[in-house]
Amino acid sequence: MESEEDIKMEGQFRELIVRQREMADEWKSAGGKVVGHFCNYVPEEILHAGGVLSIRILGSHGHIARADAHVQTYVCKLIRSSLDMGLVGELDYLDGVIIPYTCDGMRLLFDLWTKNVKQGFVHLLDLPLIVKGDIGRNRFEGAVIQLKKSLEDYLGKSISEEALSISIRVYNENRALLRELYNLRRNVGGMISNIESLEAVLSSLTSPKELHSDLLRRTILERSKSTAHDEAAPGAPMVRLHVSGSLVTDSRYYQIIEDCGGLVVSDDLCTGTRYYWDDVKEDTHPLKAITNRYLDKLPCPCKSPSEERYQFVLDSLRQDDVQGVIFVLERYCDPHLYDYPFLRKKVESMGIPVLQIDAELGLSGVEQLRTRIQAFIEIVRGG
Amino acid sequence: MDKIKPRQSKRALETSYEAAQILRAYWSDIHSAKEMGKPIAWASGVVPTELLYAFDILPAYPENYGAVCASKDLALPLCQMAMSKGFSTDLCSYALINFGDIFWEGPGKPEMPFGGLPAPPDLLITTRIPCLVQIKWWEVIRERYNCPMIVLDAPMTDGQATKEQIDYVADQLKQVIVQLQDFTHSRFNEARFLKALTLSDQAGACWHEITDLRGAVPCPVGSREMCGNVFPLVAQLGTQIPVDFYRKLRAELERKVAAKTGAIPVERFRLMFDNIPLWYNLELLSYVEQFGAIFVFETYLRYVWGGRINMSDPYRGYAEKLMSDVWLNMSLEQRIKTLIRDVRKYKIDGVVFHSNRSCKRFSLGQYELKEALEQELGIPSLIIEADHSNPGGYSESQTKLRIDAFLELLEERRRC
Ligand code: SF4
Ligand code: SF4
Repeated sequence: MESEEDIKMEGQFRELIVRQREMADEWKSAGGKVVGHFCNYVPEEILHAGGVLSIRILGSHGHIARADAHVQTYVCKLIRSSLDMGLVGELDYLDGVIIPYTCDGMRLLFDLWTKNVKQGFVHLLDLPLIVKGDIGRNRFEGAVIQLKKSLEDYLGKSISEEALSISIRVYNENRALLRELYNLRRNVGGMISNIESLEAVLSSLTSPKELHSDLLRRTILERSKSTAHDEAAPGAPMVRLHVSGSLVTDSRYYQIIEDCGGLVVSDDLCTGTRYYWDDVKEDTHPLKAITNRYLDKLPCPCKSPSEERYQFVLDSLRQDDVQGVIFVLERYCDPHLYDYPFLRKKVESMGIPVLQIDAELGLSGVEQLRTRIQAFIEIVRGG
Repeated sequence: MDKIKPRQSKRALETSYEAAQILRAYWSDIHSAKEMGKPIAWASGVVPTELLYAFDILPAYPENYGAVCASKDLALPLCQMAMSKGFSTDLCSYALINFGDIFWEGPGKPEMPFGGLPAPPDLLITTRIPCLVQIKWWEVIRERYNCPMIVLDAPMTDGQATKEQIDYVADQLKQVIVQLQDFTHSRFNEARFLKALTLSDQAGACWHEITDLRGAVPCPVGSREMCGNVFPLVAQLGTQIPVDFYRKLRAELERKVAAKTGAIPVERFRLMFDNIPLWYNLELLSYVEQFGAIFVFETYLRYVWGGRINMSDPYRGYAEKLMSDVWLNMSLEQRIKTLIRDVRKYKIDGVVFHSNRSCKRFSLGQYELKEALEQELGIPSLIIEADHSNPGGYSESQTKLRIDAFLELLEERRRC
């Protein structure tokens, strides 16, 4: 049984999510800037070093009010709903946005944003496609330097190497804690709920890092203590699942999985491992080290080559003793949708069953999804 | 709206008949080359074709082949096969057609035109210049055939590439040359490459002149026919074939323009078409002609292949050509500027935007283009929803009704 203390802790990441706007306002009243961005390839350390609170824009689950007049409905909901948030003024508190060239839709979002939302610092992070080899590396480095320079111009101050080094440590710490949490949920089944583990990452994307790390540290400590004298939960063991996709922002997916007896033990999501898997080296020139980290990080399907990504997924399945894989595929998300059939085949050839869920950020048709996940988990159990 | 006496089905230009021969010859050449063991590359749109020819590698174009399949009404079964293999219905239909082809299982496969793509490919070459989709698509082909793949990256430009952007692509082109040397085990013959570039530039120049000749009033040739004339530009830049073909086409156009012979008897409205045509319904492009309207300009035909090359600095000139002046690779701001300029230059009365669910890179931003046209020039436009190759969900009668209404609107505006 969960103690009251656990429940309280459990709510805390969610509270950070709920208080996101409030925290941003506090940051601003303390004299800082707040900049939104769209992707794991944005080197947040540089923002942090400039005293900027970085907010990962994750779109919204709601109705689209104004974006449909600017962009067709056959682009992903992240792009459509984020543009909508910009157009209706929901993001007016931001001092700017950084939009990376990752997929085609994102690149065009930059143009639409510049033309229609235009607020403060709007920066295109013009990333190369290829992250291996000197030519790609140099271009990537150029884009990072350019970002730093534009930001400095905007802030009217330079970002020192020292500040960068400090930010690198702050970010590394947060990533290390997120990985620790990840390991805990894999190793000690049920110690961290599905939702809590998702909310831990989601809140990290939008909170001041130091504050977030503090909460992570306390949570980990708390949980390690309570499991030490708590034996395994009674009842049927949870089915161990891996979730694959771009981003999961609606925790109800994870709730339903858990209600049906599934435990998400690993993932390859932008709102998951792809965000925190890799650290920045602390013993070299900071800007170089940052560049290298983003170049060598666990790649997303917008980057070429993609073998490393496949390998990561397959390795996670082996190491984590995964019994089933749920692909949460964002509609109209080309990069993921092209990779999916091949990856699926690979997973199935390991004898692991696969469920495909079509998503548009927010979950619709809760009951239908529950039925499908229920059936899937039964198959996995039976298999 | 009054109909004008329907035009005879025959082509406006005699030279256009040669396009079909060129196409057939290309396909028979590529199949015999494959039989003889010559290397075949599956190439995507806007790759450095000239380099392939310089290395004696023949390019085959799954994308163009998708258009061929669509024009022969084969898209549906192929797309369905791809979907049964787990590919989403929302992917580019060119890719779905190709996947349906290469992953086909079981009976009932349609007879593939021109004997099919020469398979397996020996080499894959692709680029992000028109879209990221091509990279993802080619990765799937690579999984299927397990063959070497060359990838050329490029940033989007504001029309003209910056020095830095040119250097980035030029550096990669040099790397591609090394990769091609390794692949063919042969030395790069620079003289041959420069010859190919010169031919490409000549064809490009000629193509621009052809585009401009179509700017004449009355317009000597409509869109549908020109869509059939574009193949040598897509696939054969770097060879003599497009140079000869387009020179001949140009000469014929010059005669027509001098004689003021229009493609339709009375030209009342000059239209522009944006995005890839509906290959399964090309007739839509000529449909308007019976009402005295004609498509005289297409972003797809003018701004995808066939740019000019600065031969005084060939590598950088080549890099610049590949990524500049390509509609798909232009920023929105540049698209707006270019559109406004061309609408003026070609005396366009109205624009038809094909909002093409398959091609996000071409279609996103069209709403802004529409608005800019209205605001800056007072030129009306129509957005039709369709897909370039997959006819599923497309209603021809609905679309024609909307085009009718659009022509009525143009008529009314003229009256006031
Ligand atoms: S990668 Fe996918 S989810 Fe992300 S912005 Fe592009 S289409 Fe949307
Ligand atoms: S998405 Fe557009 S540019 Fe890319 S392959 Fe498809 S049709 Fe061509």
